[in-house]
Amino acid sequence: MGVPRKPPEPPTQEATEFLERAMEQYGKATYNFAYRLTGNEADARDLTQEAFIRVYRAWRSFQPGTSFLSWIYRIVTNLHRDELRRQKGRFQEEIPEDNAPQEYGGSKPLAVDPVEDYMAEQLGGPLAKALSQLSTDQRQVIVLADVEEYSYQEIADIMGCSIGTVRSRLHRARALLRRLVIREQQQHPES
Amino acid sequence: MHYNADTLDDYLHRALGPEPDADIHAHLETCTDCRALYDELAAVRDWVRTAARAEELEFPSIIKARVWERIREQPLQPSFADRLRALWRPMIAVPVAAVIAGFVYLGIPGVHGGSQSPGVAATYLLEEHAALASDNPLADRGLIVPASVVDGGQASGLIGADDSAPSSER
Repeated sequence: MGVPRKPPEPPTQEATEFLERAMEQYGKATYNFAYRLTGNEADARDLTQEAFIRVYRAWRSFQPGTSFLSWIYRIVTNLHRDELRRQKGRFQEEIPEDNAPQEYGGSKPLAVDPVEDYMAEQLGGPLAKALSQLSTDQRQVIVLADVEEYSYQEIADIMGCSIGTVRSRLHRARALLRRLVIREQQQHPES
Repeated sequence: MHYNADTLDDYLHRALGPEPDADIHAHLETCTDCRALYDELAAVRDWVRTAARAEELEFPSIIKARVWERIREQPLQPSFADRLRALWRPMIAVPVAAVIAGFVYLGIPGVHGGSQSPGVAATYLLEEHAALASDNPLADRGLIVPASVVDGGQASGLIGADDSAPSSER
């Protein structure tokens, strides 16, 4: 029989203060990160809200001395990935069996395009529009590398994958983004 | 020799080691093709950063309010590990262990003094047989029953096994 341990503690003032300070200092960065991933403000609000609730519940697992922003970005990245999987699964269930995935504007099957189409309609600026053309993984890696300016190693830690995976995703994403940006600049030279 | 876009991208984002970094740096001084590609990649990076700053949003206060509301509705729950640990308190663990030990003891044959008794006792079967034999003694030819059951110990143990066989009494 193990040594008796003290029972779990109820929510403390410490947890409350931790969350309050986190939202104060990192709320804007987290919200903007969520916005870049989702491409619309309503989803970004939901994602940010869920991420801070996770922060509150798991605040003890945060290691002092490490980057809080990296920690919460990891939470946001995982939540976003889970949510997209859930949404895509729902769409695919609604599509009849005889409607096989088709190539459409690249390598994306038609079955998942309603999500992308919806997102494209909700987007505001040119960056948001360009990001909406990337896959979820490519979008995450571009935002972390090119907007947030994390190193490959930091991105690998946040996304929970190897540096090699980060590198290959970034190369593909940047090549695609380069084409999109050049097209955007040709269409709107003033931007 | 020319560098490809992927390598120049890594160079642009300082993802290479010191040696390849120095090589590319020197190469870009002389190669106009690589320089042009590098400038294009740098322009894309700058465009992304400028657009990101331009599209930056303020943190909506509604998020804060909704987070606190959700937390009030669903206060901190003990984790699964905490709940598991709580089960090991002696107050709960001792009776649970006793019950499990009881089940183990009753569930293993031989541990508690021998095998299970059969559903029907042998004496019952013998009595039933005797009752049948009294109505029709040839009903169960070939069956061995104790002589005491059939004729009170006067007959042999074999009933009707071989009627033609010579008997010592004949």
